[in-house]
Amino acid sequence: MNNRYSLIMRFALWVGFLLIFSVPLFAQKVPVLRVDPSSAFGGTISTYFEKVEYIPLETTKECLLGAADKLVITDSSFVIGDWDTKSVYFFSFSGKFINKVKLPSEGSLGMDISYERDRNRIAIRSINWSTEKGDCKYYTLLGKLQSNSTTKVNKETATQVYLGNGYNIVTGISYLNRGEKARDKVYSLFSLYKDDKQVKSFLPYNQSRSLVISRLLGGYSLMWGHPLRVKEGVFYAAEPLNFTVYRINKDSAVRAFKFVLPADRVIKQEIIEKNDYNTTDSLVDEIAYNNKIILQISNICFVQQYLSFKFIPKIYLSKPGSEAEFQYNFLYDTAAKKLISLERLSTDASNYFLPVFGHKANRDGLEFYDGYFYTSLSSLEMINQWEKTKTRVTQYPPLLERYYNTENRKSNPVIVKLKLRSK
Amino acid sequence: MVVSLLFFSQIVSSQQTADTLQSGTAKGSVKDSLYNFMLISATVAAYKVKDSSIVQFTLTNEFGEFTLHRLPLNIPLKLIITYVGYKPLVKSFMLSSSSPKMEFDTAFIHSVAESQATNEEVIVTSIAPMRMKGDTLEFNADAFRLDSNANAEDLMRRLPGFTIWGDGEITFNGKKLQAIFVNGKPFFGSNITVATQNLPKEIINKIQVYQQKNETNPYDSTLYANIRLKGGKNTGYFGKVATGAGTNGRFSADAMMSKFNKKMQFSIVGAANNVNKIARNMEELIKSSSFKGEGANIEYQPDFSISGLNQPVAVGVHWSYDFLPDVVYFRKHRISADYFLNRNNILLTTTGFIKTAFDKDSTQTQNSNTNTQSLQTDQVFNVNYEKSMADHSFLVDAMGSISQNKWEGQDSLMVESTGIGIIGKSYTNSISAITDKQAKAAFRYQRFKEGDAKKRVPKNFTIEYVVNAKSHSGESDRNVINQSTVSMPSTLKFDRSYNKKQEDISNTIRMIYPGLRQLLFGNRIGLGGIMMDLSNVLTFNSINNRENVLDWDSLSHSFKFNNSLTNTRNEQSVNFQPSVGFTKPLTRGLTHRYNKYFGININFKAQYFNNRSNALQTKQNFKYNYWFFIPDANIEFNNHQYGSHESNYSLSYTTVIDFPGVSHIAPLIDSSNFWYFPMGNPNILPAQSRELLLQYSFVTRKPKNPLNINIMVRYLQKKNAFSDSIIYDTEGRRLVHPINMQGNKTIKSEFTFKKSLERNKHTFQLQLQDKFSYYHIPQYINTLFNISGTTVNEVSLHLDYSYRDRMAIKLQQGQSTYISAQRGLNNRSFKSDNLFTRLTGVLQFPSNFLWSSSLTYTQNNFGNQNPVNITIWNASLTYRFMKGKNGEIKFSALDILKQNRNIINTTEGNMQVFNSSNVLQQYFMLSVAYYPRKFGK
Repeated sequence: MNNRYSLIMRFALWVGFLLIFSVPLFAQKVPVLRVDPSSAFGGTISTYFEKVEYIPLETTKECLLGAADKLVITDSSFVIGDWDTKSVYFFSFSGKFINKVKLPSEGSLGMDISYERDRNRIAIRSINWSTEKGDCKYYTLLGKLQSNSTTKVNKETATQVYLGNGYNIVTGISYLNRGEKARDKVYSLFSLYKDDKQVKSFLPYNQSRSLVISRLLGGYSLMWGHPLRVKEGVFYAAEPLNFTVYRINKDSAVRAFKFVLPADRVIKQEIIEKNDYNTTDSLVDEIAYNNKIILQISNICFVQQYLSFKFIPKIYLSKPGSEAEFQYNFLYDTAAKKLISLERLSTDASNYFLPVFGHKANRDGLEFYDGYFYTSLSSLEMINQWEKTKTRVTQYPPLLERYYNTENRKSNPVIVKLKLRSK
Repeated sequence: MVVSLLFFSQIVSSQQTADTLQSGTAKGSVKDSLYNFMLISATVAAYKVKDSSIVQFTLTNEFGEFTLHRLPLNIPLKLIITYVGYKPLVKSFMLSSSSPKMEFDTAFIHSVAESQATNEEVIVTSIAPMRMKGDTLEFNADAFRLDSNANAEDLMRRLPGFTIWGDGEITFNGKKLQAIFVNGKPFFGSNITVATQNLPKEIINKIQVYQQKNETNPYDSTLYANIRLKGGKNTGYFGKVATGAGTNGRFSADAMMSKFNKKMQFSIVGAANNVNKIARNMEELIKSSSFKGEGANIEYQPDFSISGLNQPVAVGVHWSYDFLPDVVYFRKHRISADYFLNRNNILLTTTGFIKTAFDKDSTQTQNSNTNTQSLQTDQVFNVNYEKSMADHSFLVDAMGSISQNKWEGQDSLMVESTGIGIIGKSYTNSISAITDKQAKAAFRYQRFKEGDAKKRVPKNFTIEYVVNAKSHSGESDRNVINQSTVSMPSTLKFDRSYNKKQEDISNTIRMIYPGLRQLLFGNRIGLGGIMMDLSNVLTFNSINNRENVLDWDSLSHSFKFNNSLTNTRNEQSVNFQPSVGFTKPLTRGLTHRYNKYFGININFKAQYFNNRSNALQTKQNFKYNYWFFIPDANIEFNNHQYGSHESNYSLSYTTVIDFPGVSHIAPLIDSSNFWYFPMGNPNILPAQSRELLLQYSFVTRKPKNPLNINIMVRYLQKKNAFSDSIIYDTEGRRLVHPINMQGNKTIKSEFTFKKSLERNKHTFQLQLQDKFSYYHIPQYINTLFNISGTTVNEVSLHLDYSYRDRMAIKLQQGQSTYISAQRGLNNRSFKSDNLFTRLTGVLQFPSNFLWSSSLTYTQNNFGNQNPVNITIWNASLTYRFMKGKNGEIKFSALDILKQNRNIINTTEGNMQVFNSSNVLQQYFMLSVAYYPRKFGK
C-alpha cells in the first residue's frame, strides 16, 4: 500500500514538475530549468536533512585503504573501490571489515563496481588500460566470489550501469587525441546491453560532426562516481554541453527537460557548431585550467519534491568557497522553485559541526540508495574540522566518540549517510 | 657592532612585549543576507578611524567566521567586510582595557545586485587587503601603506605568510616559492630578486600566490607568485650608475639599464674597477645593481682571496622577446640573446715552493719566484629560441665565445736535493698571446603526442644535433737559462718561439625513442610494467693541429725551425654509444597519507671508439679502436609521508672510459723545460672508471621551519688507470712515463645538515657541512712502488640570523685539512690545515643609513712551519638621499688591519705545494650612485 502510494506521489510530482514549466507534454519544446549557482540558497544542514549519520570504517592493516573512489551501497554492505590499493573492500553497515578483493596490479587500472540488486550480486570489472584487456567477476554482497562467472570486458564495456533484469547501460568512447582525425562514424551516448550483447543504442552522434564532445569528453563520461542514478530501471541523463535531459529506460530515451545555465558557465554554441580542429584544440587548451565551464550535469534524480543533480567541470577547486564556481551539488525544490547548493549548507549541532560534503562529494557527487544520500570523508577532513569545533559539542554519539579517541588522520575514511527532511 | 645589536634587540623585544599586553580581539561571522549562506574567504579588515591605516586583516574560514587578534585598545576602529559582488559592510567599534574582546553578531552583507534593487548607494572607501579568488590568494598592494620608495620585497615582508630568508629564498607558509613572475612571465631571467628588489610597490596592483594543491596530498602544493602590475605600468626602465674613488689609486664604476614592456625585456650592464670585484656573468651584475642596494649580498664584492692585483672590465647585454604577449597554456614562443664581455688585467707576483718526496730518504725542493702580467678577455654570446606546442617542441641553443690571453712573466726556480744541496737553477722570461674561439649550436626536436603510448607503432621521440667548433691559436716566446751543478754542460740557454694553431670540430647526434616495448611487443603484452627505450649518441670529432717552433741561432742571427718540435698533426675520432634501457617503476600510495616510489633502471650500453692520428712527427702516427660494454644502473626509493617528511635513497652505478691521447702515447719533449721530460707509452690502454654513488636526502614537509639532511658517498675504482712512473735523475729532472696501474681508488663523502626557523619575523638558519675525500693512487717513483694516500677533509658551520630587513648577521666557521702519506717511501707524510672564522653584519638604521661590516680570521698550518694568521676587516656606511631615494653615497674601508696575504697550501700525491702571492690590500673608497627609474608611460 505504501509502495503504491509512493509510486503515485512520485508520478504526480513528475507531472507537476513538468506542468510547473507550463509546457504541455504534447508540445515540441521541452521544459526549461534555468539554474544560476550564484543564486543558490544555503542554510544549515538540519534545514534540509533530518538525519546525518557518520559510520567510520574499521582501520586495520588488512583493510587500510586510500580513498573511497567508488562507493556502492547494497542491501547488506558498503562496497568500496580504491585505486590506491587496487582493491575492492566490503564493510558492514556498522563499518566492520568483511572482505577484500584484490584486482590485478599490472598497468594502469580501470575499475568499476555495479550492484545487481535483483540478482543479489556485485559485478566488479577491472581493465588494464595499457593492454585494454580486462574481465568482470561476480561476488556476493559480502565479497565471496561466485565461481564460473567470469566474462571478458573491453574498453567500451569496462564501465557499465545496471538497469535491472539483466540489462546494462554502456557509454561509447569516442575520445579524440590532439592531431588525430575524426572518423565519419556514428557513436551512441548510451548503448543497452543484455548478457554482454548490445541490443539497442540511444542518442547517436557522428564523431566527425561532434569534435568538441569527442575531444573534451569522448562521449558521456562515467569515469567518476556513479553519475547515472537508476531507479526501477529508469535513469535521467543530460547530453554533454547542451544539457538536454532524457528519461531513459530499456525501451526508449525521451526528452524530459533542459537545463539552461548562465552564459559564462557554458561553452558557446557557435564554438561547438564551428566544429573545426583549430578552434576545438584552442578550446581544449583554454578549458584545461578553467573551473567555471560546466561540461556535464550528472547524478540527476527526483527525491521527494527535489530534483537532485551535480555539475561536472574540467577541474575542481581544492578549497571550499561561497562563490558560484565552488558549488557542485544541487537540490532544486520543485514546489518552492528554489535552488539549494549543498556546498553552501553550513554545519550545525545536528551533525556535531562535523563536515558533510568534502572532496569526494565535490568530485563524484552523492550516491543515493533506498531514500538515503551517501558520501564519504577522509579521516584528515574529519579530524581537521573536529579540532576546530570540538569545544562546541558536549557529547558525540558512541561511534564517533570511539572514533575520535582511537583513530587519527591516517585512518580509513568515514561514510556519511543523510536523509532529506520530508515535508 | 655588539653594542648596536644589543640596543636594537632591546627595542625589538620591548615593542613585542608592549603589543601583547595592550591588545584586544574581535570575532564574528559573515553571511549573505539574501541566500542565507555563510561567506567563506570574505575579507575582514580593521582600520584606524583617524587615518584609515590598516591594523589587522584576515579571511573568513570555512564556517564564515573570523577572528582578529592584536587590535589596539582605546582607539576608534572600523571593521570593513568586503566580498566580490557585495556591498562592503562597515562597523565602528572600540576596545578598551576593561573590554578587550568584541564578539560581533552575524554580519549580513548584501550583494551589489540587491543593493541596486533597493537604490542603495555603494561607497567603497577602503581597499580590501586580500581575497581568495578560486585557488589563488590575492593581496592588494594599495591596501598597505609603506614608505613611498618601498619595493615589492618590502611589500612581501608586510604580507602574512611570506618569509624572506637570509639566503635570498622566499617562502609562503613555509613552502618555497618556485618562481616569481611579473604579469605571468619570467622577469629578466630566473633570479627572483630582479623583480622583488627593483619593482616599486606603487606600480603593483596585486601579488598573487597560486597554490595548485595535489588531490592525493593536500599538505603539499606547488607555489608560484605573480606580481600583477597596474594598468599602463607594464612598461618601464630601471638602472644604476655608480662611481667610486679611493686611496692608492683605487677606483670602481658600475652601470646598468634595464627596459621592459609587454613583449620585450632589454638590459645592458657595464663594470670596471681595480679592486678585485669580478662578475662571472650578467645575472650577477644585474642582481648587484638592484635598487635595494648590495645589503648582505656577498657575491659581487671586492675579493681579497684572489691572487694578484686584478683590473676587471665587464660589459653585458640581454634581450628577450616573447612572440606570445599573453600567457597561453601549453604554448611557449620566445627568443633571448645575451652578450657578456669580461676583461681582466692581472698583475701577479708569486713566491713559493714544491716539496717532492721521491724515495725513502730523499726530498727535492723547488723554490720559485714568479712575476706575471696577463690580460684575459672573454666574450660569450648566447642565443636561445624556444617554440613549444601541446604535442611538440623545438629548441635552438647557440653559443659563441672568444677568449684572449696576453701574458708576460719572469720565473726563477732553484732546485735542492736532500744531502746534496742546490742541484740546479733556471731563469725564464716568457711572453704569450693566446686566442680561443668556440662556436656551439644545439638543435633539439621533441615529439610528445598525447595517446601515442597506445599506438601499435609509437612515434614520440627526441632528436638532438650539436655542432661544436673550437679554435686555439697562440704565439709565445721563452727565453730560458738553466744552470746545473751536477751535469755538463753546466749552463744551457734557449730562446724559443712557438706558433700554434689548433682547430677542433665535433658533430654529435643524440636520439631517444621511448616506445621500444610497444614497438616490439604491442600493447597487449605488458611485460610486467617494464618500460623500454632505445637511445644512441654518435660523435664525429676532427682535430687539426699545426705548431711551428723556432730557436734563435746565434751564428746566423735568425730563428730556425726546431725539427724535433715543429709539427703538423691531424686526429679523427668516432664515438658511438648505443643503449637499450629498461625501467621498472613501482608506486604505492594512499590518498592523504603517503606516496612511495621504487624504481630500477638498467641501461645496456656499449661504446665503440675509433681514433687515428697522422703527424709530421712520425712518432705521433697511431690508430686504435675499442669496443667496451659500459652498463649503468640506478635504484631509487622515495618515501613521501604527506605533511611530515620526504626521504629519498638512490644507488647508481656508472662506467666511463677515458681514452689515451697524444700526450699519453707520444708527447714531444721540449728541451727548454729542463725539469720535466714527458715520455710516451704507445702501448697504454684506455682507463675504465667504475663508480658507485649512494645518496640520501631527508626534508621535512611541515608548514614551517624546514629541516634538510643530505648525505652522499661516492666510490670510484679504476682499472688501467692512467698513472706515472717517475724517475728523478741526479740532475733533479723528472722523467715521466705514462703507465696503466691497478688499484686506483677514490672515496668521497658529503654531509649537509640545514635547519631554518622563523618566529615573528625573526629568521634563523643553521647549516653544518662536512666534505671528505680519500685518494688512493698507486705509482712508481724511481722504480719503487708507492701508494700515495691523500685525505682531504673540509668542515664548516654557518649561522644566519635576520630580522625583517633591519638586521642580518652571518657567522661562518670552517676548517680544511690535507694529509698526504706515501706508503713505499717509509710512510712519509705531509700535512697542512687551514682554519677560518667569518662574522658579517648588516644594520639598517632609520633615516636611510645602512651599516655593514665583515671580519674574517684565517690560520694556515703547514707541516712544521709556524702558522700564518691573517685577519681581514671590512666595513662600509651607506646613505640614501633624494625624494625617491635614487641617490646613494657610500664610504668603504677595506682590509682595515692591513693584514691580507694570499696563501695556497695543499698536498697532492707525493708533493706538497706552498705559494704566497701579492694581493689587494688596505684601501678606503668614497662612492656615489644614482638609480634612474620610471614605470608606466
